[in-house]
Amino acid sequence: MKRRMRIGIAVVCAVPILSPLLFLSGNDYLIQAATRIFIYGILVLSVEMCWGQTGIFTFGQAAFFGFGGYFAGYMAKNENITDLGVLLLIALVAGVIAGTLIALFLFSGKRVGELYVALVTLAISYVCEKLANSWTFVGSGNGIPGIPFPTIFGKEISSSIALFFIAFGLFAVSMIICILIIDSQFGLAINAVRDDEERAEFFGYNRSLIQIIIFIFSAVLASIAGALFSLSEGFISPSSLGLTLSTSTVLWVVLGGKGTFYGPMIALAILESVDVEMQRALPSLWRILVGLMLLLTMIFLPKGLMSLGEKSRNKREQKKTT
Amino acid sequence: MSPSVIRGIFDVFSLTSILVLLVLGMAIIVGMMKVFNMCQGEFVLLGAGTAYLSYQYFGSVLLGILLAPVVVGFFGLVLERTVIHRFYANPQGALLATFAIGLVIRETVQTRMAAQSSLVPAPISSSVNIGGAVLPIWRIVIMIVTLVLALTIALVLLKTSVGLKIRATLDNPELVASSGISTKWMYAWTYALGAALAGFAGAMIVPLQTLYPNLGYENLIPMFIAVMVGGLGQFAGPIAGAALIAIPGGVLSQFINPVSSQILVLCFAIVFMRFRPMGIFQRGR
Amino acid sequence: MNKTIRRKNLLKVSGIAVGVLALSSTLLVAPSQAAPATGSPIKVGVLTDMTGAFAIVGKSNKAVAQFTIDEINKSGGVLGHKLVMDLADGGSAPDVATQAASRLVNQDHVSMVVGGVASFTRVAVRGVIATRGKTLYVWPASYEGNECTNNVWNTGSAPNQQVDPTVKYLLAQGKKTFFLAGSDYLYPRNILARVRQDVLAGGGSIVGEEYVPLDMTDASNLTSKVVAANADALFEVVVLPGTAPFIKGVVDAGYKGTIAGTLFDEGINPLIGTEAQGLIGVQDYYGPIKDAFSQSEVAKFNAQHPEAKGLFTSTFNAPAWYRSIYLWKAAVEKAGSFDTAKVNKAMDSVSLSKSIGGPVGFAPGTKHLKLSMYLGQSNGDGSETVLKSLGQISPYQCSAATN
Repeated sequence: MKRRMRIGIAVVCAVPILSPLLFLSGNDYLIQAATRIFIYGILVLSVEMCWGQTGIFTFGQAAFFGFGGYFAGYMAKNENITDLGVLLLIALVAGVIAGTLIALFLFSGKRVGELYVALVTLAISYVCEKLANSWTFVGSGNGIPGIPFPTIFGKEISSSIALFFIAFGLFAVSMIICILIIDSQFGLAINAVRDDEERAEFFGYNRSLIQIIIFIFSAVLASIAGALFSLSEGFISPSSLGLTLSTSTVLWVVLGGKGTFYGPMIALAILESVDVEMQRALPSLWRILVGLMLLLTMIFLPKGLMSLGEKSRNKREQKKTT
Repeated sequence: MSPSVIRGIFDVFSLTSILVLLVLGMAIIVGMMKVFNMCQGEFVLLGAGTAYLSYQYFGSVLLGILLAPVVVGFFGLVLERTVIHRFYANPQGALLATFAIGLVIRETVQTRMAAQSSLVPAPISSSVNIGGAVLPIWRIVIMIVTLVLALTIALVLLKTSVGLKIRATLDNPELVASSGISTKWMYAWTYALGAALAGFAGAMIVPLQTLYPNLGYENLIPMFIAVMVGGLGQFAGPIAGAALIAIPGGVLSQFINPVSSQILVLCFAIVFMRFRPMGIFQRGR
Repeated sequence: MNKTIRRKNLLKVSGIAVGVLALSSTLLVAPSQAAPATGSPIKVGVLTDMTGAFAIVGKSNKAVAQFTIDEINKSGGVLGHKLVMDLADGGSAPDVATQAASRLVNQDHVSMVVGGVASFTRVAVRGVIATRGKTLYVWPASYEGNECTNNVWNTGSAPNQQVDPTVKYLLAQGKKTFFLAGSDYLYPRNILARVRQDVLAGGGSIVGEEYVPLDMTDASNLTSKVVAANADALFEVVVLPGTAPFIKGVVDAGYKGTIAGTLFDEGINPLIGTEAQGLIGVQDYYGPIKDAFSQSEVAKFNAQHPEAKGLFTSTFNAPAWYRSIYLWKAAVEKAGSFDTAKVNKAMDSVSLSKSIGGPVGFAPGTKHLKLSMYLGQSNGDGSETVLKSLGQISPYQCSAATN
């Protein structure tokens, strides 16, 4: 078993063991905050798969997140479909459809530049936010509020602990699937496409097909994350489709180190857990500091925070071999 | 022609000239230097802010409009020498670093502003009556200034030795360096010029709007799309791109609601970019 | 070899779990939800946007909340308890606001929450606070109406309270044709729907109705349509940052009719500049209203909160914030308890004989206030002239007849 998988399994086991500490507090706020970290974790995972592992610079991943969220939220609220399984399936189908359309548009046929992909995905997220903001069918600026809790076998899931475990469970499954993909033969192919599209094509990989598959896969992950968000928070609004969430996701991935798999999720966990408190302590400074952190990371640690660990490990390993 | 037709045509020209003015700086930084400058919108914001501060402290918006390119150009120069020059070999890094810079500027302006948005009056607030349509003079000034500015820059780039040096540096830096020109400073000054133009645009258009932190960021995506539609590599492409998305947008919104027209035009532009990645003036590869 | 790898893994694992651990570390200090001991302070949840687009409104809201709480504490508190403000930043974004609201309700266990600036915040947080959190939520803003959720109380004006008198005035002035213009979202659409209804009922006609995108700051197309239609009156609900460019555009393009709206007062007019001259509107408070109590309270406010001087305006919801906390105090005293269910029941019929802007009280069964309203006309220097004091106007909301 490879290292990445061992860590993954360790995380999956560690969370249920540690989580009772959280529940003992009876503090729903903390439980909800942790739930949100896992939901955004799936979103971050989707960007890491796309960008970090395959080199597709998706700058507008929130579009899929919001798309899934709006679909699930609309169905739950207006069509009285509350079964969690059905809603997640709806989000999955929505993600497949949206992802396929955009993936085919972007990656079939002639190769496009990496920055073109970034710009188009960002523009899609921008257009989606505008559309949601002005479309009364989906509540325009107010979004869809008052989404009912999901049900499993007709039983309503309303406790924050249950929602925590659902979010964690889906996060764990997504993460393990991602690890399996990366560690497989296909994983070698996607990394080859990331490292050099032309050479990968030259070696006989179907570059376009690989990019399309990964893009759809990551759209589905984001869409499911969005569905979970709207169900556990009880609302979805245009901001969940738009530039702010899209760029925050990229920010987490860059800070943690794209391509390092765990780095982005660590960055997300740290930033999200201190965000509310920092916003409170330094209301006018915190967001500026986040921007400065990103800038300094780009200049001095282009591979993200994880590269600090890599460096020290390399040093130690060098010592060992000499 | 009835007054409403005159007004309609005037609006299309006005919207187009504003987008072209906004894109001028970007045509240099993104179009010619190929730096995906995500803080271009914040240069516009800083220019608008300069006009506002000049109005507050010296009581003159006009002075602010003249100061804006100097202030923002200098800021661009400093930025290039401290940050941007590190990323010429790494376009993705440039995109992220400039995004971070934009975020910092926007948030700083947000915390510094004493109001949700602030008024900056136009230096000339009167109107003229043409064929029964009352047209604000400041919009006409913007049209003329945009036209003159775009032509001047194009001429400087094409016909003068400075323009030749700039184009040569961006095309083949090694060759230029070997002929004794400091490419380092050529890059820096070109970037500063792009920043200065954005700052000037910000100061010019802020009287039509109000000063608020997202003033530039709101325009970033349309500006980028204009540049991409126009195509990278030369100065004229992005200008044509701006016209190509502003004119249909302006015309459409006379007939259908402006939200739909905006979305339609953006979607059209995205598809256009996919099939003509080199822009309007694409020649066979 | 094998051993070192395992140890390293362990390090990594603990690193990844850091978020979860950081969260659980605060559990030792987590408070318990119990009835307040005699004399112990009561937390009032204050949710407003201290950062983001509405930060300026948040600055006003925070100062008004602090001012009101200080005043109540000075006169003995509520049922012998002092009040303390528990401030949470909604960040001008709904996803930030829900997290902030959750902290107030689930971690700090506040007695009630007052706040929200934009409607998207209200609809996002009301579930967290009122429905799931079973805590009283007071929404202090002029808004689009139809908020009838249990445990939620509206202390701002409903559409009919602002629109009906405005349209009545315009019709009485001989205005027959109306153009309606707004930003494209729920609030302007609901307001303008009410305007349409009132105009048609009063014998006027609508010659145009147009909406622009929320973030559209260059509304020259809309301007042209307004000028071309040349209606006697323009009723506009284009929100910031589009307000000023739109009104300036319309006036500069030679529109000669009367412009009316729901968002004009001393807080907004200075942004519009000299073109604000003559704008018509109805609010629950203007600086120059002839009410001795309001005058002395606002003077006190400006003295105690110099940082928010000039921010005590109706469009920043300042009078609504002030009365929200006093109405809640009255309900708690009537119920003799801080228990949400009891206070919720008592809220239905509480009233204040004195408040900033004049006497107010809940119209039973409507969850909205009977408000003292004023017809105002803006001046070019940003100030307002009160044309008429309209007395108390009933809300048409929730169970009450909607026309």
